[in-house]
Amino acid sequence: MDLSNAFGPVGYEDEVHSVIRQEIEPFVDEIYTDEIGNLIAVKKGTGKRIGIFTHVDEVSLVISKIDERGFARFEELGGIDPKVLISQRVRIKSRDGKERYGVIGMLAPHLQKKETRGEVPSFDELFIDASINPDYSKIDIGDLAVVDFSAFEMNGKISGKALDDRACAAISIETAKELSKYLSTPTVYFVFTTREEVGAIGAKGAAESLEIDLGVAMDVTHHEKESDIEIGKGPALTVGGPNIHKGYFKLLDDYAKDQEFKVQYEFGPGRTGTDADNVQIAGSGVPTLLLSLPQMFMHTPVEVVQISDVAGTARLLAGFFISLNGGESL
Amino acid sequence: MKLERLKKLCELPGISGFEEKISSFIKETVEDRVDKIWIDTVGNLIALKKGNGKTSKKLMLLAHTDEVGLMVKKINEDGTLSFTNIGGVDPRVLMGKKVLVGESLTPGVIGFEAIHTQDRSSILKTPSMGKLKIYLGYSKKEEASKSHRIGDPVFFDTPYNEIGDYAVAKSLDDRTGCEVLIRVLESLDGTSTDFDLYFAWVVQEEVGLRGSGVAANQIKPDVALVFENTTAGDNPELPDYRWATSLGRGPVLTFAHSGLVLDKKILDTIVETAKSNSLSFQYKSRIAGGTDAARLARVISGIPSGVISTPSRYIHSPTSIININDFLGVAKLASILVKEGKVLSR
Repeated sequence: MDLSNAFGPVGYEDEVHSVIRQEIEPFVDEIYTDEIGNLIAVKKGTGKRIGIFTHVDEVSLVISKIDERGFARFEELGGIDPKVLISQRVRIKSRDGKERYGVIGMLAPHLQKKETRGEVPSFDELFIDASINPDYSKIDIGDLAVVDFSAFEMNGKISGKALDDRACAAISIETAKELSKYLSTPTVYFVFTTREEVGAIGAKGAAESLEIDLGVAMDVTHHEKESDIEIGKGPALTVGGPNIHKGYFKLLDDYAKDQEFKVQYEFGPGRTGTDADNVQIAGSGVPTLLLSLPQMFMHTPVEVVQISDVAGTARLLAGFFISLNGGESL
Repeated sequence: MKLERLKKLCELPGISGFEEKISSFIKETVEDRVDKIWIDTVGNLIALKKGNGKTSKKLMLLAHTDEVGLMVKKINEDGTLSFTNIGGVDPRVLMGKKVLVGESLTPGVIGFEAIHTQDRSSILKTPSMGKLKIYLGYSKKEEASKSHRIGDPVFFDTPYNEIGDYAVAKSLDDRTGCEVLIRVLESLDGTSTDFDLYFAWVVQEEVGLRGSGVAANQIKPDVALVFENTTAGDNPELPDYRWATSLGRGPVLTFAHSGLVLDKKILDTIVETAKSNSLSFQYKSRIAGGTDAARLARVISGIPSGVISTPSRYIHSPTSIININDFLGVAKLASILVKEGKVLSR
């Protein structure tokens, strides 16, 4: 399973789309982009119609000002900790289609005053040094930037930027691959959604138009020992809560136990802050499940997920979908 | 790529006390061009290019091979590594970075708690170095202990990149100086000077100027020229009257820095040489920061020296920036100073 390619330093949804298209193409019947910008891959089958939703956007920066010397100010798109931005290299994509380069700098320790050492510069004070580009004057307000970071493997884990939620997109692709081993499958829509980080905008439209019997949203969740969620212990299934369909949850949970898949549980007391929220209330309502991939250091350039969690979740989903066509009724 | 060898030098790992890879790379590069070359007890690489015998004077060119970094101080129960800084490193530049651990260069990351779960009031507070951890993918102390131990060096891992007239890299401080010395030697192109010319690529500048005095004791030079990388400060935090130096204005000449007022005669010679060759230059306008020249003034009977630097933004972080023309200016000025030998006339 060559995940690292799918995790290449893709920064904008269209770049991500072309990576996904290439990876999923052998296992599906149709791929298209809908009006709002979701990429949808369809595996045609019989019986149930299922949608899997993973978002492919990532937290990023947007240029808010650039001065005559080439120092740009910026704001965040999605929640970012200023602490993880200092001394990062960034790729800036401008409207002329060209990519430029920048560095988020901070005054060297030699020149700092004692009083400011305890303070982390806020988004009002941070800057991107884009002065190094010969044509920095072409950078404009509204241009987007992401941290430049190449994903790498360490001890069965992958570390990189944007694994929230590209690692789940990889699960979708792997699920398609698993399903291709079966002769007969349900119809599955692999929906790679747009703009989740700014309010799960993409998922709703897709869920309405596809007329599905079941929607499965996938996102990342925090590796947190206190809440018993750890990487390496399988996906976290969201238990109960108003957003999760009880009947389908039991089927999935029973299937996972029966087939001895590693899973963990999270509870969802209300809105989950994922695509699941919007899938459930799309159209005349969609039964919805949420699976979350445990992740360390979320929204930093060094997010970490475990490869066995990604592979295990894909096998679980593919097997579960096949079992749904096996005659269980709700 | 304009500066292929500087790329190689910057990408090599070499924090203070672990400079072997830098020294051996330089040794391989220069050994055919010098008359004598050795690595001393502390790890300094020293080379002699003999003069033509007209004078018995000795000139020493010096740059430091080490870079700032981190060192493992504890292996924690959860398999993460706690660390301390080697040289001046601000904890604020470390979060969200990939690092290489140990001489095996095992990749790991310095993560930080996700912003979603942090206490709002602490988001803009600098965490102490002790709160930061290196994660290598282990979940238990026993796993981490198999291949790591306290004292393991930790290196930044930033690829060298050139954009237009600029280079972005780690450890430009002081691989630019290391490369200047190599270029001076190459510029002699087999010709010899009127004096013996020594090159000293010294260790452990960042942890208290520890290599340079040892090198000087073996050479006993009459005069030294120190090639450094120095802080700029021409970024938005400071009004221009508080900048130390600025990128694009040429080599930086130092009249005084922490612990030393530099030899006036040598400084004057450097200034005159730059002017008569129409080379642009700038003065370092802050006293902050020191160089090996401060050590040289305190060894043997005191070695007078000059300091010429490439200015750099964001030094001592994983990502610093130089203007390539500033660097080339330093190399050119250095070559002229060596060929003319005027800095030796006392």
